[in-house]
Amino acid sequence: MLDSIYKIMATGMRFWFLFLAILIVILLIAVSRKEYRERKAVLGEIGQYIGYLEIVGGLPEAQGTRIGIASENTIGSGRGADIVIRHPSVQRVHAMIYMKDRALILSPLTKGVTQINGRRANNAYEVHTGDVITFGDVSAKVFIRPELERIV
Amino acid sequence: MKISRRSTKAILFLQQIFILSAFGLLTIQNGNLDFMAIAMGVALCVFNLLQYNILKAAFRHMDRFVLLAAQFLWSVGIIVIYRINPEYAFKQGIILFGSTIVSVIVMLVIRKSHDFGKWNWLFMLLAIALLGSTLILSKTIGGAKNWIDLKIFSFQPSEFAKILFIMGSAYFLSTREKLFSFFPYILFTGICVILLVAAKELGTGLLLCGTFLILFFAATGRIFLTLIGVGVFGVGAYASYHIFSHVRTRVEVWLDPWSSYNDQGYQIVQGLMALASGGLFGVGLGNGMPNVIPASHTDYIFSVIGEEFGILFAAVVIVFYLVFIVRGMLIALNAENIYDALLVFGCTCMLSLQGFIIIGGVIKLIPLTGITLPFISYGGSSLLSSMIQLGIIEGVAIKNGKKEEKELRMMGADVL
Repeated sequence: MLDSIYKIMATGMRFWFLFLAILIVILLIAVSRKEYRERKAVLGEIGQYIGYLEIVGGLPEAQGTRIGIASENTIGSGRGADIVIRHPSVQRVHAMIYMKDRALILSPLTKGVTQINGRRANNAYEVHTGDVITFGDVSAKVFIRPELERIV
Repeated sequence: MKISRRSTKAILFLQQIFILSAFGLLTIQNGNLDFMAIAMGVALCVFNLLQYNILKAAFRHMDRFVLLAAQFLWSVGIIVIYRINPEYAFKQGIILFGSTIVSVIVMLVIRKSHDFGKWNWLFMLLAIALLGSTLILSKTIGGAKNWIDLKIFSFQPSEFAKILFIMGSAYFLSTREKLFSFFPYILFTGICVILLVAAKELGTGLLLCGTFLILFFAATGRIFLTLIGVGVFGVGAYASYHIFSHVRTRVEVWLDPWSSYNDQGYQIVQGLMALASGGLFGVGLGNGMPNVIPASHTDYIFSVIGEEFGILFAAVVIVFYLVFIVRGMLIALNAENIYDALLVFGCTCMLSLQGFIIIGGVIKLIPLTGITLPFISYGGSSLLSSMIQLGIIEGVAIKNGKKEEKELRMMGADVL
């Protein structure tokens, strides 16, 4: 009796096993593919960064946050800026920071306060790893990837 | 910015359902209730879940998909082995538990290590000694002289020589530049293969040759030299066809198994008939006749899967191997140095080639050479060596993950 029940069940359940196996393999491929793509996108974006700005003053809630910098970015409080710092003392398009001839240049774009290591910058100046730059009341420390920075 | 890890709960859940329904079905096999089957199923489920979660917690950067693919493969293996002989399945379960511990140790070692430097010479000598020892000390199982009996348990030294071979290969191919400096390595490969062929272990010999050629090409990118290697391999194969009678028999049986049906061709013919009677969807778990196939729980397990689950399911099993291979390759591409990359690539190649050689042999695509199907076949040495290779792959994956995390952290991103 049990024998024949088993035979029927086994015959029926082969489709169930096949279904499960296909489902598992599809899920496995889909999940791993999704994760791989996401990882690749993030790594690709980070690979473009030449360094970062670390917020060190003026924004207590964002203290220590690192913001990646690409080879050309505008900094400001407006939506159009590449690096957005929301603070009343920061102008809409406050300054620009870009790489030129293996040097990172900070160039003020408005009359707002832009400082490098506490000294007011009126023209474009080169900045190095460890310099503290200030936009309005917000200050940030510069870090450039060692392999990209020109040795002075 | 963050890299988030996708949830794999659904995959694990389906895997548990698969295991439990298969063992639930096996409970009422043979006309009486066999509660050992369901106990075995629950134990396997608990083991897989615990293993996955503990490893994930201990090694944040472990590649989870490689582990999941391997878990499914050995679960199918244990189900089929239980159906053939429950006693073997218990043994396989215990070996699986033990080899998981070994693979964790391997992961820890690989995570910390660079290349092993001068130690590699010792590894290579050890590999030759292991292979040589089979010729002197071994007993014959299934026509091949490849088992050493240590009274309490017997083991197959060539399974471990394989791993030492990969380590030696990775060392030589990553540190040497000039062709001349490869000489000791080529000599080493030659000695290994000759010892294997002399011990009638053709499958592993073929495996080492194939892995050598693929690794050599991948590491040096020299097409001409690799083609010469393929030529030498062809000449060697042709020579051994004429020198060794057992090689000749294998090829003759492969060309026409039906003429020697009662004798040497018996296994191949039985395997083919099993696959044919299974058809696309199989006859159902437990309804087949695996006992008429010699070595159905080890080398010929693929034809049992084909008979009872159907050839479509068997194809899905191959897709699991493919997932394993693709993830392995990605880990190799990500590795921070050439040694690690070649190590992972070697392990991935060897596992996939091993699968190809035995599946190809079973379906009569290439001459049958007796090696095991990685993760699925019954066999302590085989499972242990597959698990060590899994450990190597995961170890390098962990190393990669750490490097990546450091980079991400530096730029203000993170891995969840």
